[in-house]
Amino acid sequence: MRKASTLLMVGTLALGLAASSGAQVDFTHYVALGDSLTAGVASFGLVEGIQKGSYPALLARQAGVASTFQQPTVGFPGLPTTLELKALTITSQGVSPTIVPRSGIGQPTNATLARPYNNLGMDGADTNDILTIKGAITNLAADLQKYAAGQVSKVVYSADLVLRNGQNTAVELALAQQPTFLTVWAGNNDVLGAALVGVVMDGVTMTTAAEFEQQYQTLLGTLRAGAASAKIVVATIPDVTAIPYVFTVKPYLINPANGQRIPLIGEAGLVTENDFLLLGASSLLAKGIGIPVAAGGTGQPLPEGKIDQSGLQAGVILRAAEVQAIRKRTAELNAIIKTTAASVGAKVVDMHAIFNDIQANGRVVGGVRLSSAFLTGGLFSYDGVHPQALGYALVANEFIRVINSELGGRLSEVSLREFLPMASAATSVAASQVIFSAQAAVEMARSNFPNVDTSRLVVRSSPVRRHLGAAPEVVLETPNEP
Amino acid sequence: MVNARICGRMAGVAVVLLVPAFSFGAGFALFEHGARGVAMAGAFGATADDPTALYYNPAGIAFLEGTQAAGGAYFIALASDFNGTDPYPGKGYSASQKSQVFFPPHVYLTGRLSENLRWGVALNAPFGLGTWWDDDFAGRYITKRADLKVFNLNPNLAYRLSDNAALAVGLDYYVAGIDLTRSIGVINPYTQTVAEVGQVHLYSDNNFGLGCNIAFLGKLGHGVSLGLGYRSRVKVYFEGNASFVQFPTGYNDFDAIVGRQIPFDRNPKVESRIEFPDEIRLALGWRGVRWGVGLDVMKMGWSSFTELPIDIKEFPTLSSVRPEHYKDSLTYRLGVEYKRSATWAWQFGFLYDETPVPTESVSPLLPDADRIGLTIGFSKQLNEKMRLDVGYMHLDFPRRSTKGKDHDNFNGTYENQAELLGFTVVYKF
Repeated sequence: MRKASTLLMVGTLALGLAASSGAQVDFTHYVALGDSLTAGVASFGLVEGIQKGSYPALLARQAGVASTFQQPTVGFPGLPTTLELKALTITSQGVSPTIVPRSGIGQPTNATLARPYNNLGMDGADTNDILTIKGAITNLAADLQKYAAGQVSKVVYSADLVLRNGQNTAVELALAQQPTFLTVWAGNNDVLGAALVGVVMDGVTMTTAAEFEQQYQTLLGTLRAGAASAKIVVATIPDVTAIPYVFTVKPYLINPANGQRIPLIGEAGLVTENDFLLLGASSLLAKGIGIPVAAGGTGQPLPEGKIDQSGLQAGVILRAAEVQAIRKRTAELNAIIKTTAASVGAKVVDMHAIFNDIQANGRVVGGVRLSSAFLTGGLFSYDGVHPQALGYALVANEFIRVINSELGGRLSEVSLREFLPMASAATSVAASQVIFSAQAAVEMARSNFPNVDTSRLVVRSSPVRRHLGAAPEVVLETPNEP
Repeated sequence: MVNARICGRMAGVAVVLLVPAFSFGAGFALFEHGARGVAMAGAFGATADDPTALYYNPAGIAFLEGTQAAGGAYFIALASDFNGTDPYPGKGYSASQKSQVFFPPHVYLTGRLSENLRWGVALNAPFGLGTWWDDDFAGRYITKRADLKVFNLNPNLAYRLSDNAALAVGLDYYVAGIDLTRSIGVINPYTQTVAEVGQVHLYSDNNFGLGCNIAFLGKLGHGVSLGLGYRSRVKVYFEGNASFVQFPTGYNDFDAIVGRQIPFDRNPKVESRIEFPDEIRLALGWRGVRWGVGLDVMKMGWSSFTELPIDIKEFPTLSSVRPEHYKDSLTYRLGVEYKRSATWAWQFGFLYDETPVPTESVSPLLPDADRIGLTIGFSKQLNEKMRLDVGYMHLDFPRRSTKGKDHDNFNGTYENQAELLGFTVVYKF
């Protein structure tokens, strides 16, 4: 009996310790700050079906506060209209998908909420936007029109959708909720824009390290000052070459006759194997642009991004030196993120390392290999930049690991079973309708900057309807059984 | 899916016909090769006084008179349950293996060559594996069904060095077949979830491997005896074929692409190999007028099993190497025999097997765990020539958690239990 009672005491003590360590993280008032990755953008748009699986929403669910975790949800087919896969066509180079925007536009479905949202992630926001931009829901329609006209960047209407009151910044709305727990994944758009337009220019397409340091320190400093006891978890910026938008299109063609590589032509000369072609290049390649005449192409060069007297012109080539510059800056910003986080007692999810690891090694779930590959990898959505539902679930689990290991949290990881369904839905898809457009590539290039000249991303003989448009056509490696 | 059902039924027929065996010794070793020995929990290496000695300690046949034979089988029923943890397949998920009954057989024959020299031939199944999960099992991309059969044809010569010591040498000629079935999962670009696009069934021909064994039995006096045995590693190269069945997803162009990548219309050649572990046995025994006691300790050299390669010759992208990295393991066996009369004896035993399977390799293919066994049995002399041995074993497997480390990221807890009932008929010509 004595032994039994001792055991009981030890057990009770252990349970007590467990409960108190769980209580070290209070998720009662959880607020998420960030950009499209925090908002839960997938396939170019914000749509409720994916938003409910945004990583902040999943964290809230695992923490048991899903019922009070509010987001700026948008109805189907999303805002902007999400992309869908229409067809997969077998070509001599592999499999060519046809990805187009759905028709129509989604409407906000939670705009009347009488308090700020818990998820304050704004599509297109860089670090400075999180600190400074304001938006009013009453301006949403007008700002959407301006965005469609190419006059403003995405973050302008995003701020209308997310911040709503026209008076407060995202940081202010976060602190107004007296947060007990905060996640901040900021900085992606401080480097990503350079990759999306193929132009690397300090202070224009990329935030300088000095500016970023000041902004990031202000961001975390303000949060710490306003929420002294809140637990804060931040994340680093992935390498731009770890996203399918940048690595999918090979910088050469394979000659089906002899298997040899055919170099492609860019405005600044031949594209080397160390250069990267953006997804937008594929629709041009499909029209023969960038392909030598001898190889059956037009001999016209692929556009390089540039800035000249007419402004910012989007291109489809990231030269090796440009990639190096973006990587160097990303490394600088990530160092700032880590240092600043340490100074305010925030913990860091190293998404840079995680995305690189996923790109190098993939992830095996239940015996199925997932990878970063576009369309066939299972992690990224149709825009090649943002994760899809399964990708966001993995992101949430990476946050959970840090919350558990470094903050003493006891969250269970998000179950991935819903993403490996017991049976495939047998929905038939019309494979014959092959729609070609480069408009989604145009939209991606315009995401971060107003007044971007994207005309050269589109084949001139084939005018594009701006509001409908279509997506990049890319040539994929066909899916291999893992 | 009709194809899947047919395959399932055919697989069911195959399992019944082919006398496979689930792994009932740690790893995929089988130790059930004689009912009297099993009833003593396998602690029979220093006793070894009937033809089943050819398995437990072949030197024992040096002391047998005339021509003797033994034969029998074990009937093995298994229950195996799995409970998932997050992230995959998730908390709340559970599955059970299909009910299976296995019956590994054993046959022994010994005879006299000269005053001190005996021959013996054994046929038994030293390794085997049979796991079978439902078609909708969440781990079906890892395995649905696995079936490994290994028979050992084991001729021995045993020489009596003196009245109290004998030495045996033998050859171990393995005949083995392997049969693996799993689903093929790839991302469906339309749904952006995993689609079950087909099934692959790998089946080998009967393949062969050769090893050797050596054993010693010494009677130390006062009823005490000592047994020592060694069986070498045996490497078996498997050759066979793969057959693929496509499951339509309803997305015609996706199905066409999958159809181009996976050779559904052919049965390409497949190669694999397994290096079966060596085995060292140290056995101590004591025998009085009515009571006998045995204590055997065996070391299984499982570190030989580092990987399971599946090499599909014409389709390298479909080939794989499954890391296993087993560890050497020990097994402890304690058995007692009580001779109630000249024609009737009882046996009891207890065993503990260490699992050789590291946590990250615990999978639905082989949800291995340590084993604790309790045994009971009896021997009944039916007449002057014939004896019937019956042995029963209850095997308990402590719960085995993958601790989130499984190679395939299929995590949870396995719980197995097995009941084994066998008989051996011993006949003196």
